[in-house]
Amino acid sequence: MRTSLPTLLVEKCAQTIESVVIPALADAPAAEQAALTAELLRTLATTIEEKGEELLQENLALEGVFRKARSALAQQSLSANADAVRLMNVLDPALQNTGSLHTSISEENDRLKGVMVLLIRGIDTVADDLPAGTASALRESIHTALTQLVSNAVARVTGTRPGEGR
Amino acid sequence: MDERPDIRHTIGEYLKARFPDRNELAVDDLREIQVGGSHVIYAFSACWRDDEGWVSKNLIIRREPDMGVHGSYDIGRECEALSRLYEAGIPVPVVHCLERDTRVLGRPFAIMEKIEGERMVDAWLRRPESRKQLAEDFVSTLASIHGIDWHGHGLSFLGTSEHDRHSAEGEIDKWESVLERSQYGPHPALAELSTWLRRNIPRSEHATICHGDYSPFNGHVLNGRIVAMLDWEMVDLGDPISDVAWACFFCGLTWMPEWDEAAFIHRYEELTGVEVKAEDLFFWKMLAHLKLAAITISGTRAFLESTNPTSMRELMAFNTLTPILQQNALQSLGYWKDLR
Repeated sequence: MRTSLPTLLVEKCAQTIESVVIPALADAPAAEQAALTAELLRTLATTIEEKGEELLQENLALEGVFRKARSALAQQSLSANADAVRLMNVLDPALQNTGSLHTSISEENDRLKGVMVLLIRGIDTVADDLPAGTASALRESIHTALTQLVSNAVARVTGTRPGEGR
Repeated sequence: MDERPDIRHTIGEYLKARFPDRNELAVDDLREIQVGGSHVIYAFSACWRDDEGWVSKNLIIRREPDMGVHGSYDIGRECEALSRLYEAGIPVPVVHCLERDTRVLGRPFAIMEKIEGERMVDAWLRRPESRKQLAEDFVSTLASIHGIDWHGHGLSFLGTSEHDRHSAEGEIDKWESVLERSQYGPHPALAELSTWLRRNIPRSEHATICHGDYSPFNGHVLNGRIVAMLDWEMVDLGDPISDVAWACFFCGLTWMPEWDEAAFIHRYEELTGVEVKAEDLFFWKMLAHLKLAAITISGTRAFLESTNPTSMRELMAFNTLTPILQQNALQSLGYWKDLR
């Protein structure tokens, strides 16, 4: 299981306090405070869960796109399209496994983003066989979901609310 | 940064063995000046006595990183290119020696001339009166690089002379691969950007030497003039518009006051005779988004997994920049939606 980026960032803060800040502190009580702060950060690092509600919304948006894609791929015109079959084989398990009790929201988010990458890469290969307007509607919903994901990511690093960024 | 007496001793002994004719060679004031995501750099002074008296030089050690931001470091290739670029009259640091034996500093390294002065981006911000000259130097140096007879100067080892789609496809493959290796989660917005790039690859007209990271962070300025271009680790044979776009992209991203992209392009066209088509420039700027995002993601990983003290300033900058680049790319492609 991959360690989450926020966890690694907090661990790095603790490591920096220990390896850079504390050796430079001449004042013993200040050094002790810094060491305790580092220890506390290490403890917190293992308990970090990214904003649950926000990730849940992202997961729902991604699942919504997958359902639209799944419905589009079920068209009769695509029944003989091997790329469409491959994409369905990616989407079906993704939609069946949503909300598993065995994964955290952030793990689920990672998994769904991985499926989204495969959908984005695969959509061009089937677009020509889709009815007029279906491919563009699907792309629109992909772009809306991407906007939500990126808007949230920008908000997380800039401290703004989603959509408030530049 | 603090002095590094351990490295100073190692390098002192190394230089004495490597240059036995340099009498009473001494290394002093060795400091680490860059750690983390890319090459590790130490600055130091060396003095010795030769037939004509005492010689003193300010030098740098450029050591390959343990991890790095793009996974394709080859200091030997870079030094070979630097030597030939120097011979071709391009302002680059003089390489004094290359050491591939990893027993000395743990990784291959080179010792080079230390260029005095400041980064172009700093000079630009601090001294508005020098901006006009710096803008001219910035574009004319790029034109000189692109004008090199690379075959004649023995630089064909840098890549293939095939151009057409090859250069752009190779770049997309390379940065996608860096992203995949970084392992920090899937990035759907960057996948969408890659897909767009593959759909819109322009036909390259010709291949030239490309710096690969031609930005105001790598131009070095002394007395109001660019005296060297540094950091040639990504030098390649490729589409010259990739350098033009990277320079424009970076100057825009850095919010350099009075930076005039249209004037830069116009002057580049004048100097090289190469037409910069708007659609090509746009394509390479979009590729610049993918490239820098891959560098920031991979760099974040390198910083986090480095056992050395990390530059928290760069770590924070990389971590912040990654989603902003994705936002800018989606907006530029017209894919950004109003969520309200």
